[in-house]
Amino acid sequence: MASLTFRPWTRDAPEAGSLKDVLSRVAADRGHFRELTEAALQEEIAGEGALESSDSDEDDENDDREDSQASAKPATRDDLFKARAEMLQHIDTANNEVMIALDFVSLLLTKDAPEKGKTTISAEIKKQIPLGSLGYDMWQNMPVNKAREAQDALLATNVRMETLQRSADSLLVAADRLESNVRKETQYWDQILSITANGWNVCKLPGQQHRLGVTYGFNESAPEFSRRGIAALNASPDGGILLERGIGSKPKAMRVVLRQGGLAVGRSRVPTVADESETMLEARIRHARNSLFDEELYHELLRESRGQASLGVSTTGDGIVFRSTSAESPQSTEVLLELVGLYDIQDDLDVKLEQDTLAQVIALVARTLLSQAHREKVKKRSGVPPPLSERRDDRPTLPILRPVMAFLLQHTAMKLVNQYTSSIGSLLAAAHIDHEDQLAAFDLSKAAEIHGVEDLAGILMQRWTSESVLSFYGTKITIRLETTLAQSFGTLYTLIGTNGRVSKFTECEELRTSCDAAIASELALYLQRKAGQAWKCNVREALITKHDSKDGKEDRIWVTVDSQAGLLALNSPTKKISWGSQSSSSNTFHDAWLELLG
Amino acid sequence: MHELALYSQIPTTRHTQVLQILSGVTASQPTETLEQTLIYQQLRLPDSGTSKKAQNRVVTAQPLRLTYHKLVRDLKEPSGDKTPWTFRSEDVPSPGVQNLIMRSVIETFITEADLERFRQGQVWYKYINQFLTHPSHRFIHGNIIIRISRLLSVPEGTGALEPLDAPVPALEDCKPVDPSGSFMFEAVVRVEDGGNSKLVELATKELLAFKKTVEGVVDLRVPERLSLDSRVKVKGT
Repeated sequence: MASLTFRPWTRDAPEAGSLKDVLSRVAADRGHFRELTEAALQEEIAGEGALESSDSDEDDENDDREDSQASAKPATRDDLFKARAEMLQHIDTANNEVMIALDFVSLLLTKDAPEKGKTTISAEIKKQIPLGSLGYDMWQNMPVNKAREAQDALLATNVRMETLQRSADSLLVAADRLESNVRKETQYWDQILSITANGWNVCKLPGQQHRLGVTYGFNESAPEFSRRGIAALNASPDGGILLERGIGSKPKAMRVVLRQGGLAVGRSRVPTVADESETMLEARIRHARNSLFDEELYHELLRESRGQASLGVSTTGDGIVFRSTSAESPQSTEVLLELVGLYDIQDDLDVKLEQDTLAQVIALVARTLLSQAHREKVKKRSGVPPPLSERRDDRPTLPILRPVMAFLLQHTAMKLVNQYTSSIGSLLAAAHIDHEDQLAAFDLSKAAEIHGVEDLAGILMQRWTSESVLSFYGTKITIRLETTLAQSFGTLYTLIGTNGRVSKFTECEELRTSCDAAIASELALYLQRKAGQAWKCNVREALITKHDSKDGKEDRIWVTVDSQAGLLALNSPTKKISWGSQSSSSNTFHDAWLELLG
Repeated sequence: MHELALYSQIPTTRHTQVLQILSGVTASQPTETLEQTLIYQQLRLPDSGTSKKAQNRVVTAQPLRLTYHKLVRDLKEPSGDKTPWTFRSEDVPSPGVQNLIMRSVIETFITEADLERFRQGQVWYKYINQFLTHPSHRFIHGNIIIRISRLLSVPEGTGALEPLDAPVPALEDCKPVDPSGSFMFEAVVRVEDGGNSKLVELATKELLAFKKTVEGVVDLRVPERLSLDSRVKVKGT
């Protein structure tokens, strides 16, 4: 506080006025310490000698004040009011501050001098803060401890560095994660693109957002199979793609096994498990598709076999079995269609059997027929539907097994007929009879017209026919084979003899005996024609007789042909000349005849 | 049999788009057809015979009014011009059904003998007009037959020759009935027996479900029932 020294009045003894009195005097004289500075007072003292100067000073001061007041004098009434309001505001704030300071000091006082404090403290504070709760202590200023300050500074630096480090670390972690995310996404989309590039159809999964799936099924399958034809592509944690669990892991395939007499003589090929040209994912998808197709094929075959039980098809625990002839014989081949898991049969894949090709052909034909059935379904679906009526159509069985069976039956029948023809041929050759034969073969005249799979399937659906011709001595015997599974099981054999007589058989044995008889009859007829008028021929029994007028007896000569035993014989009641497997005479047929006659 | 139908109109610009969308919905490609329809007016009701028994019988089986009948054939079939005609007779749509058009339709192959009735000079039918539909596509979706076609009217004077035997009018001469060239979209379900409510319900459900499926692409609606009235209006009085 500026120390004020007043020259004491000479008259009165100067009261060393208490500060309070001094202050009150100053306040009364000069206003409340307003515009009171040491410099100004020094000036006053310096210029106070003369009254004029003090008057002038006062005047100056007054002028100054007036000037300052003039400068501060507001221009308009509004400004005046504004200034007034501002001033009041300042005063209020100042008042507030001072009251707060007073409260603070009073509160402090209430601890040590409660009465004094209580008088000056305001009511609000008294309500809110319990009295005597603020105390003070005087502390010595602590000496400057350089070491501790250095330590503090070091600690502060360390803490700051730590926090900065932590934020740097978290930023790095975020960057790493971002990078790994980007890498995973790139990998994921690369794989999806490669799958699409290989022809698989990637689509949105119905009912699941944000997930893609690959379709490998067929639209025209039965509903339970076409529903299974889609698999979700899930992202694995390292960005690769995983196929939905379980798809393609246990692939199945249909296999055809040909058995003769209980032993396997032919096996169709199943697709190999490993293929180096594709990734694991695509291999799984491919396995899934093949497996689904074969499973559907097996399912349809089962359905068909249930309806065809009358045709000799049966289902065992392994699969579907049917025989190639209706008779049981060691020759007949048994065909077994089974569904095998690819991983279960790896061991016996390397053994090559003789009829592998036939088995493979059967498998291929079955698959082609299933595709054809799908195509038929599309065509049927696109045609104008009949009006709705009460009739409910069950799902028709697809004709897959039947064409295969028809083909096999025809094949076996042809083999049998050809066997027969060649045995007869050898018998005739042994007897030096000129003959010609034409073996039965598949009638492939329409093969030139095949333009696509549909034509091929069309041919498979039709009935099979073939023909075998045996001719000797100017006569011709024709055997025709016809297989169609529309009416009945088995091949229809037709024997056409020289005189146009047609006879039909269903069993090869019957055909054999009939044909033997026909050949014998023909030979007898030939002999009769050779022999002349005297001899008569009983065609049915292959017997020629001559009525001998001398003895009254009949000369009889008959021919027997037995292809089963492999025997061709010319017999008379007394003698027998035979050719064939057991004993063969070296005569020709003609010589033998002359021998018997004579 | 009865037919349940819904109709819509497709502007020319959207034709290809609608064909593609329907191919996706039905999972099959459209079949192109070119139909020639001849419209005949019935002049006389077919007699049921003049025996006494017939006269006593109540004549409810007879149509009460003369109607317009149609002869339709599809020229895109392999037999081309020689395709046999189909006789088609449509009744007024049933009044009770609100959300689709249901009407009784007779559609049969017609024999040569019956075809004679339609020739000129006969007392049974009078030739009125004919129209072609080109380009016309057909989709099948379950039991629904969907037809998208543009109707072309034939040039003047085509009716002069016997329409059954006359050569098909050249497509270049025919003008569209609707000058803007927009297409007519028809979705039809056929029911064998209209009295069987179970079947009709099934058919209705299927048709309405299809309407919902193509909502947004094609707006299927029910046209004014009486605009499909096939009865001959008797003039006078």
